[in-house]
Amino acid sequence: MTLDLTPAETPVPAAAGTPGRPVLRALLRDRRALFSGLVLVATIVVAAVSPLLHAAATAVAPDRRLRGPGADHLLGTDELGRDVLARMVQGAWVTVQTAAVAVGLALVIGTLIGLLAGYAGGWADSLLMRVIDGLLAFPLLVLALAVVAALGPGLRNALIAIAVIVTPRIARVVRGEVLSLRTREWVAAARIVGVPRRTILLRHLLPHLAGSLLVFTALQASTAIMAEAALSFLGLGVQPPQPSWGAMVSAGTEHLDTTWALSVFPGLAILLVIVAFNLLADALRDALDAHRPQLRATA
Amino acid sequence: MSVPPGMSRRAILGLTASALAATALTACGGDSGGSSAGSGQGTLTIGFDNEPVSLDPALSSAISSDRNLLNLFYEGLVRQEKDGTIVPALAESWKVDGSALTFTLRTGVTFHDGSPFDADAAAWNLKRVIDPATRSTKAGTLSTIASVTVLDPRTVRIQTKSPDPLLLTQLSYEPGMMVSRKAASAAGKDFGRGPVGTGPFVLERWIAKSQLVAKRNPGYWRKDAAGQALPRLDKVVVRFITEPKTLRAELSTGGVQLLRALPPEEYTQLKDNAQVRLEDLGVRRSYYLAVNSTRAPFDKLAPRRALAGAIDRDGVGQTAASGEYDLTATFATKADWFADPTLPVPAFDAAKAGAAFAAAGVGAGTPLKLVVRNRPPDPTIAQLIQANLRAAGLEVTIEALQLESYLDTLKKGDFDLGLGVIDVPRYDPSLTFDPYLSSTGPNNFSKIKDPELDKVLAAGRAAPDRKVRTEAYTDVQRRVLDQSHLVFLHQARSPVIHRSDLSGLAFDLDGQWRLHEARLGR
Amino acid sequence: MLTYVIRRCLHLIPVLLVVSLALFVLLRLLPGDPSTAILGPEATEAQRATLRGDLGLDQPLWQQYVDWIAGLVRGDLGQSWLTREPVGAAIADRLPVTVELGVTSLLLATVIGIPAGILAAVRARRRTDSAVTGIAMLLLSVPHFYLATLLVLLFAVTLRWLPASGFVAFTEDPAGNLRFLILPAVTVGSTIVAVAMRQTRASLLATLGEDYIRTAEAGGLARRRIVLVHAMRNALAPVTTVIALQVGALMSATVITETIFTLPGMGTLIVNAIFSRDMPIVQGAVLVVVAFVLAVNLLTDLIYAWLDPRITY
Repeated sequence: MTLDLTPAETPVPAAAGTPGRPVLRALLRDRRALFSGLVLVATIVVAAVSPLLHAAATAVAPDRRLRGPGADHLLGTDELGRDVLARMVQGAWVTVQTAAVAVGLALVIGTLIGLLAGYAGGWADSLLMRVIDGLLAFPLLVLALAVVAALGPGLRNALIAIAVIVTPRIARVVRGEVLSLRTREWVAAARIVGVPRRTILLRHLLPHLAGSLLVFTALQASTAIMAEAALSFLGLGVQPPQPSWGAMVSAGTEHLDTTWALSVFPGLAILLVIVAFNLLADALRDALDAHRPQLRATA
Repeated sequence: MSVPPGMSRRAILGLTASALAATALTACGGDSGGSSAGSGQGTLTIGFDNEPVSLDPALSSAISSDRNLLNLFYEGLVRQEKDGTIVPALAESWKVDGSALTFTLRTGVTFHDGSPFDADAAAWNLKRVIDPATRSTKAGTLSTIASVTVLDPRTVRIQTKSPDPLLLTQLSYEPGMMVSRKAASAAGKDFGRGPVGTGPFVLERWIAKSQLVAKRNPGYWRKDAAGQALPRLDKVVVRFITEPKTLRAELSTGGVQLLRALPPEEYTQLKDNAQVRLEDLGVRRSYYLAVNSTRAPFDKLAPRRALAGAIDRDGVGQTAASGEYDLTATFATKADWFADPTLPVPAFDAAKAGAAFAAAGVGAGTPLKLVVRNRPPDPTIAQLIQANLRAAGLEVTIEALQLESYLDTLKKGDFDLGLGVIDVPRYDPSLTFDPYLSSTGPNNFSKIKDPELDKVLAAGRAAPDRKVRTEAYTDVQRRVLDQSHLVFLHQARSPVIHRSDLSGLAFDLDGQWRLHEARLGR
Repeated sequence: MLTYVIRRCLHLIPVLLVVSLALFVLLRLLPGDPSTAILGPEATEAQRATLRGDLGLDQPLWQQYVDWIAGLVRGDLGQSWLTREPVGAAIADRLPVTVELGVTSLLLATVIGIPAGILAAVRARRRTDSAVTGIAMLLLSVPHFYLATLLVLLFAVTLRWLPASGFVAFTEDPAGNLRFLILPAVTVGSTIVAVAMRQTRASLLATLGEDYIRTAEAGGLARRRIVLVHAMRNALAPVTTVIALQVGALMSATVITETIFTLPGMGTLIVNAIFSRDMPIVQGAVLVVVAFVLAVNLLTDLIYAWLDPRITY
């Protein structure tokens, strides 16, 4: 039996065995993977060139405010007369940072916690799992809201809040994987011949769960981008005049009845990137599933 | 108090219909002048954006907006007219004699719960506000009172520590509103959810975040000029709606007939609607920049003066207030009696400001932190100021915060510039200026410590004569402009907005409405 | 089985303790206090200090925490600092709105998601399948605040069919209540519809590949009957589980959705209380939500365990 996956809540079924080259070949043949690769690379390139358009994105010109899409300004202008397209390009940089920094941070810390909890077992594991269960039961946005309200608004603090959301999810998945791998003969054998614990964890266990962790991380990237956009939407993310796609959608809702483009296009950009991450996760999972001995049910 | 279970819309309509029928009957029966029953004029529905936390006047926390609703239920001993004169209300007359203020009370007035209004009730109310155990937010306004004495059932005397020329004005508003002792004692801490006063309307129910329904007080003492019983409305329904767009839509479709305020961007869209009236009562939203005088560069006078000339007030007003604004020198509106038209609005000149900053030793790229509230249009104004200051060579970082964090930051002083707004006029200039300019003022965000300014503020507060006060407040304004402790921006117009078939509205000096004579229909 | 149930229930106690402690500490880190909301923005420092004393904010933190927990044990959630309303009553006021929103969304998910998933599975790798799968991917990916904005733009601003925000109680005006609820419910339901579609398709495809179905087909049973009765019966367990697991995410989704549509539910209660620093309300409401999510998760686990004979204890 297979369990289809949803980005936020369900752990990924394990991809046992080493993925490696066949998986990569499968991915290259997968249209979904190619599409998402294209979108993600394009986003990174756009983010990289964003400094070039910084002036256009911040030049205030009230006399040309709230224009619809047109020849001068492809996607129109905002409430201060700034070019929407140029601001969206700036926003890409925030999104890339969110995916890289917040998820990266959560990945490192979450993996460490998960490895330690899963391998150590006992009361340390119990305690960590209670904390993680508790954090996971919080409404995601309430937790982020409280963290940002406590630290103050701004991109850095929003990224910390997102990392706080994502870390326990990753830790739980990693721990689950370690628990099932720990009982394998080769791990026991390594332990008996006196391989140090750190080597077992990092050299033997980690590579085995890399595949499923990759899928889960792709899904978490979309959660993180959604959360950043939502925080910015509520005015708790990046501070003006720095644009973020979520903040642009939010500012645009003030003028929805006159200048709809203001909200619609930045939102489309968010949607596109999240779709890319979700498709990538789907493709990756299918590729991994096809290249391992058997399916295991997750319960 | 316990809110009665939800009344169906049909029941409300039914009541309205029967009231209308009653009106018709009265009309048929000829002039029943002065009858206390059955002169209803239907239901007025109001869209209100700022739901009070408490309807106990002693605990009211809003600067003024709560009074729109408090006026439904309560009255004071006296009342201040739009032009500033004090007229009788629950007191028929009064006499000022040095530090003694003696009121002769109206007879035959009862509270909504039937308990009589008399000198005992009046004295108890005043003492209640002063009593520290009440935790009244208005206690400070009556702090000059030394004693309150009941001379006879309709005479009460207030003795102040020294002559207090502001006392009568204060008593016209929340601090002087009379609540039922019986109801307040019975409800205790919950009194704020179940107001009982002598006012034209009686609370029917109040569902938090949804609506408040008040019905006609059949025993209301006041009559109109023709001797007809008041109030004319049967019912007032206050719907709590926070979204300006929803408020505007509801008004244009007739779902509500009266609004407290709308941002210019919304109300300019109603200007061509023949069904809607925008009534400019002189209320303005006066934007300002608090300038932190405890940290560099604005701890020195020259950079503060350069700042005053670096901001394009017209540009801000055009963009953030859709052109619906006045430019004034300070918080005084153009119509205020203490306004001095000769006080100059600092001229905007980016190049000159840049040079002035440089001359004052504020180099190009000096970083500044601008704190604003995170609600429209404040972040937009902040970004315009940021652009203005960049043109003058300064690098401004904006921090947009929720109210609590915003006030916390301003009070702690962790900022260079703070964008704020106050509704003006207030019912006395001391209320407008003192909190923001006095060295002990709770909202002295600029951290002004200016003995000169404190002296003229005190003079304005203490003088009984309006001419002397005008001079004092001119001095206040001149001083604060000279020192550039605050930068005053535009004043956005904030008209009262209602359906054109609503008439008979009366207003407090600061534009809050009183509905005892309001009527619907031609 | 019974001991397993009891053990799982006992596990909830430390989790709730952790949550309450984390919540309490986090909220005390927020700058500012409720004095502005209660006393107004121009209250003096002396007034604020008195108020803090009245609210017990001058007591040591551990004392405040212990008092709160002691109250909880007695079943007393405390009083709102702002309105003095009992927290329990405030929650009882708001919970029905959120529950109504949640149930409507779940209903949408079931009514639209499962049939669409079946359709996609039956037409696997054909155009209908691609369309359903594509739509599911979009719904899964669209942030709620963006979908809400698009819905408002289309149905409220352009077509003027539905209100952009606001609420009226069902008991007061049932038709009006539904009008206010449609857009929020579609917003919250979008994710669950997508999840239901994808899971139904995946489970059904897996089941349709199993031997007994092939046998049934070979035996000449009608295709429709095979899919709807035999295959679906087995595919339903994981679908139910996955939808139930969405309840946590659903509670998160209601927070931002209620804020956008200004519905007076638990989400707006919590958000407004965070902003006005009305801590007893935030603590009580979040704890109720968390306990609810934990209970649903537990129930899901138990039902899943009960349905799936392969799992032992």
